[in-house]
Amino acid sequence: MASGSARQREFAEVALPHTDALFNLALHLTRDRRDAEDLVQEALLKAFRFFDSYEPGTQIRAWLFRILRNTFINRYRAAKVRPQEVNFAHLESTYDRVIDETLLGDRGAMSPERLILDHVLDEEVDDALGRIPEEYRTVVIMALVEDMTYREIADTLSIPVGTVMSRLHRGRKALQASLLDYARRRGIVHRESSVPNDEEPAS
Amino acid sequence: MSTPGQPSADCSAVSLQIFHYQADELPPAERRAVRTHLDMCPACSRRLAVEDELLCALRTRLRRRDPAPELRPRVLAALWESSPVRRSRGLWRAWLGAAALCATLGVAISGMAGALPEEGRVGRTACQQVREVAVVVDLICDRAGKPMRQQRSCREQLHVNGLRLSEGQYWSLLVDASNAREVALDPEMRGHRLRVGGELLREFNSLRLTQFEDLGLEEDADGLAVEARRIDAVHGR
Repeated sequence: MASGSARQREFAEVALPHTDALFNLALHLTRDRRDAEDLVQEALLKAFRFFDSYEPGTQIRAWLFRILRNTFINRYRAAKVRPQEVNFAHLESTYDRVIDETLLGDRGAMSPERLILDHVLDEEVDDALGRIPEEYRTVVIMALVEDMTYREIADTLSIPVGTVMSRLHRGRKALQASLLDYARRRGIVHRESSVPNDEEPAS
Repeated sequence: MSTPGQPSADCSAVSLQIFHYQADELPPAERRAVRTHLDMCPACSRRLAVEDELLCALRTRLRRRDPAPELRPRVLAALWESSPVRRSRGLWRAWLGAAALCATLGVAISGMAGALPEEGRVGRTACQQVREVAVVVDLICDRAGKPMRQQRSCREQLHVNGLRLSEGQYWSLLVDASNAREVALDPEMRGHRLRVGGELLREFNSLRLTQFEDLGLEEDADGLAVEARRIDAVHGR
């Protein structure tokens, strides 16, 4: 491979170590490995073009995430694809009911942690995540996978911390509700603890 | 305090805060209040234990999915192949001025229009029309929305001005490329409303200002609209 300029080498040294994290976010955004790889490449090339605007010493991962997400949104808007609407209010109330019933229910039953770890498939986790609107999904990934603080997420997405908090709250509840529902469908959770899917009309 | 199924007002409040308590993201006073409640409320304490289990399961199941090993070399090769033109600031500007203006703006401005107040929606696509695009925005410190420590000296000339599209939405001005540096750098301009046109770079929440009209402060001390004044600093004039 031909040797690059000092600028290219510098960019490669600071940015490419984040390729895996970028790919993971891209995969959860696009839900397709090939599309995710294309998105990562496009985002990194854009980042390189605008490397002069990166402030050394600031969080490069956050900067790269911002470029990746904006690139995704541009593609997404161009494709005019709309996500499925999610009735969060309905989902949250049923989730709270399931938790209450778990607290009141069979003390000998399997723990929620074991239910999800042992009886939910990887594809079902991805499917559950994919059902959540993009803005919630992104915050969930940044908080739970990338261990970013609320402040870092807010700066990356240019939204207030309060918005990060509400998106994470709702995103987590929606995700946990879906995973518990997958477990229920296998008959592991009691019937009365079922969590309906998010197929009801959005409020 | 309560028994399960009979939550108190305190329990409801804790239920809303419990995820942020788990993430250690509550302000100290709120964290102490939640901790005190948890110590005294078996129902909420058990709820926290269940949520801890669910969080642990989520973190485990949401582990990173790795890309194919070919991705990194592929990106690296694409980087090496990228045009050396972009290393030159002069050519860089030329590239942006031509390619971005023609290729990017059709999408960018229409995207911008969607994010702007109703009065700013113009939806232009042709290159010739882009320069006529006019949106009304507020000038604000470009650190708006960022941590307070970065905003503290925003009345000093340490930060360039940015554009507030709506509450919580901010765009930066590309100062080095701007033809209107005085607008971007003058802290006295903050609070003014501008009618702006230019190249929008969505990836960077940035606007390369090519033309603008200062509409003045929205209102003066008496609540009267300040007469708009024209600034003759438009590119090419």
